[in-house]
Amino acid sequence: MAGLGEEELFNALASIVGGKCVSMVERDREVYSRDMWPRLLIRRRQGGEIEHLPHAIVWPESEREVAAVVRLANKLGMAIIPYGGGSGVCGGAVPLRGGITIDMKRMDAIQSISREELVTDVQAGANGERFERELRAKGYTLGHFPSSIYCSTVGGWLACRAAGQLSTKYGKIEDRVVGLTFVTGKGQVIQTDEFARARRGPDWTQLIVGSEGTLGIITSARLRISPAPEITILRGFAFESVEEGTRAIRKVMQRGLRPAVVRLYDEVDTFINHVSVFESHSEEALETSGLCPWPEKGAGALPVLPSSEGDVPGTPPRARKGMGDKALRLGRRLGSRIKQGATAAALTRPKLVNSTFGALANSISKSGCKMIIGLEGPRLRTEVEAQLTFAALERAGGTDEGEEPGLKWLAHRYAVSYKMSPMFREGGFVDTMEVASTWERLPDLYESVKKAIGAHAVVMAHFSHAYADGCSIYFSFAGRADGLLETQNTYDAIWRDGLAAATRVGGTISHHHGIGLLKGQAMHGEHREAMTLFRALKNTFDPNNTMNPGKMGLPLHGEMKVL
Amino acid sequence: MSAEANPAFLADIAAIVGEGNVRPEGRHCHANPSSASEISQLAKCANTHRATLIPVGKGGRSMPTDDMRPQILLNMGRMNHVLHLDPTSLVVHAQAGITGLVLEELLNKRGLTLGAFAPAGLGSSLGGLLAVRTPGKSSRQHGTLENMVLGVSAVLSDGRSLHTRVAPRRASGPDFARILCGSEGTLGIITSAHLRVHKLPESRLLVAFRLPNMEEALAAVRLAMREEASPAAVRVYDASEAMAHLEEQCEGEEALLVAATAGPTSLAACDRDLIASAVSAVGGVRASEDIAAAWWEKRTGNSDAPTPPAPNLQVSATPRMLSPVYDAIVASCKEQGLQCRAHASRFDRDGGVLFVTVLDAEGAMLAARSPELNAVSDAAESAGAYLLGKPNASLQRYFDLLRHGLDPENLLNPGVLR
Repeated sequence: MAGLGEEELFNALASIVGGKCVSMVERDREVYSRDMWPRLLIRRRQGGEIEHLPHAIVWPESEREVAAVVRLANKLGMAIIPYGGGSGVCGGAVPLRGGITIDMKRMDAIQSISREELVTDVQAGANGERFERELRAKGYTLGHFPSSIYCSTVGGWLACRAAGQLSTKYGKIEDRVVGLTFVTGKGQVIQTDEFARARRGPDWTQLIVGSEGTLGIITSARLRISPAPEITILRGFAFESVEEGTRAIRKVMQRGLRPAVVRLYDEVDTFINHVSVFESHSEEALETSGLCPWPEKGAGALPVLPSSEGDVPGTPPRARKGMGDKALRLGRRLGSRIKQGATAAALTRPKLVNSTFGALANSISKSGCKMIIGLEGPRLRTEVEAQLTFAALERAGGTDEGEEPGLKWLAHRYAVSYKMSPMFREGGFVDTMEVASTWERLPDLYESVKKAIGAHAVVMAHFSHAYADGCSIYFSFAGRADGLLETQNTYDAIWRDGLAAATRVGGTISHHHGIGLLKGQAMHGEHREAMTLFRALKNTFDPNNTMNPGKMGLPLHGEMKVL
Repeated sequence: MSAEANPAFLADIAAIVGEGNVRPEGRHCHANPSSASEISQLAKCANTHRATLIPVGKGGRSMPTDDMRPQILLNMGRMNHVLHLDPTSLVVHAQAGITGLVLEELLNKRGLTLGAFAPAGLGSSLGGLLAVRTPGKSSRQHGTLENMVLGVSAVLSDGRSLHTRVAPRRASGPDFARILCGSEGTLGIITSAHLRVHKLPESRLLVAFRLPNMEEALAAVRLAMREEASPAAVRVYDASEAMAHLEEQCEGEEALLVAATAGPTSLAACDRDLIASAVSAVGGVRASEDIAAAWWEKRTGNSDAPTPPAPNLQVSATPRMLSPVYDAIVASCKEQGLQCRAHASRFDRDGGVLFVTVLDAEGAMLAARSPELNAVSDAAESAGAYLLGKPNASLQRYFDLLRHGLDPENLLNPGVLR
């Protein structure tokens, strides 16, 4: 702290943001020591010590205050860690060098909504769900629905290039942003080109979006909005295989059609999803615990391994389709075994479980892969597009399963984030890896990453966030090992091997969760010489390495040479 | 400083690109490299000889500059190959020297297209199209040309090559390709790019309307796009421009709206109907499809009809501001005793471009930078227009820092973006 005592630091910060908006108490520092990175959840759950604490947390209310805190940090040689909702899953908010964590949540105003231009100005600390709710009340939508929407902020979305569940129509957050107000690592306030195409030079907005607080802090943004949809049309489709399903998505996208959501679950994911339809006990628990935003009974948006013992309620008629009683019994038995004491044994033998799941899914379910697809927007165009889309899917071998699977997905689309705790409680872990590639490389990406993760954990995947030129794959995995050290080693091995596999076949290591601490090393594998460009940006905006040091493959200490 | 190039300098360049691909011009040297590797060697050569490296695309002139160093003028014409076409992902990897038009022609033969971009904007080399960010290269249907970029390969000032990761979307850091797109060759020389391409539309429908005035015509475009109509192209002519371009007579302040919608037939028809409905809502009426056909023929270069000279003022504006900007331009011209005519096009989700031809009282086009024309552009800017071709002044210092980091010796295209 450059020789500054605790009291002096507190006073210096209090002189900028006011004494009530500074904290240096232990409890707050512990809370701000991490985000939702599962590796740190494992560590916390299994009694590991907290390795990195911020020296102080501040809650500024204006970009002037943010800039002043950043300038103070520069003067003191301290690090700055920007903090939004704390929902990141890559350790991006971990204060590796201590320093000052800037929590942006007080800067949450929706400053303007332009009906004519269809843009809104919003501060970075705005909570996603509240922001969308207010837009809806005025007849608009941002179209950005990450599963973290209840606990993430606009600034966090922009910092890590987030994607929402309806990104296939509305785009990722980088497609929705027109311009930014940004405090650089030196504490200067800049505005990026709000009408980018009229100006010569690079598109500065796109050079800052995705920098995860390593260049500065986004304090507000101008975002594109759309009129709230007049209609939403949802369907479930079934395909015989992943290959058939992905080909169908590609055909739809390359015809110029833009469904809002497309999700294709691989055989294992489909099977588990199907089993979890009958495992509503855990969801009841979630409802009553108040943790989850009102999930109803039925399938979740993204299934996880069932997590607690309970009665199996009556089978809904639709859910029986394509699945015999024998298969159901097997599925329930498998599910209940995994979720009990057998969970541990099963998860420590991932290769066996993966192959069992694969065989079961293929031979028992017979229903192949399920797809959820939905369109929304103005009535006329959406109806025309829906007809074309569903016809294209049927031509590509899909079976229309009606509206119900889509409605169920919609009702439970945020539930998955609230289903993970039981797994951690039982000594295991769950996490997700989201990679992407062009269509040509997608089969390789799927097989190679699944194999790499499958060596260490139970793995399943779904394909979502589709584009005309490629698609993202979302791998969910669950594992466990004996003791903290072993569990961490297993967890690290999954990521090391999974990301290496993605890079090797030409995929990207992240589609929308970002890099943080988790994938820092893999950044070099993905970008190689292009990291030069990142170093140049870092030296441009944050030459003293004040901002979120040690993240995204950038150094923790000291200066960097660009070339 | 000698008026002739240093023989050792020329010899080194010839050793890299071959004797036949070197042409001295005074103390400068034109070099026609055939690969990224040769450009990399040329960058190292520039460092050795303290020369500058100027990418000239398919052009070929040396740049007048205060810089006294010799120039290596990179003519990219030999780097005109399509390196790979991925028909599954619809992605093409092409060298920077191929022109947009040639690439489009090659793609068309395979049932593909770069997108709904006006052919007039695709005449430059691919490297040039990407390196210079101008608003013309965009469409409502496919966005801007740089949005088509999945990845670029480039050579930096010290000769190292880099390739940004090719992916439909990434969350692994900022969009590094966007550092090079728009940098006008000052941060690195783009050597090739991966671009997303599209299938040629199954149907294209052309349609024309007459509207009471420009304000209503621009409102109709806005209204249709709000209903998510995604036409391949839309253009709005004021009465004088309709006469100059299409020889169409319009009454008084009447404006002409022409549009092309494309895609699966029912979607193209839907988009056409959405535009028709918007036009009708603001008091417009359907006009002969021949007008739209004539416009499309001209747009695609298939018309023998004479083309009016290029407009002498281009400004862009957000959807809401296009009409006030147009009014301000007309008012300024009237005040100065000038005539003007205009059309608006290149509409995308952020706005459109007004192409204005300003004439003196006798009907002669005003020269660029003439005081009268400056007064008109000032009026447009005051009304909310963005003048094309201006660097982002408020971020210039950061651009200079970025540039210094990547090109500390200031070797790459030193005369631009200052």
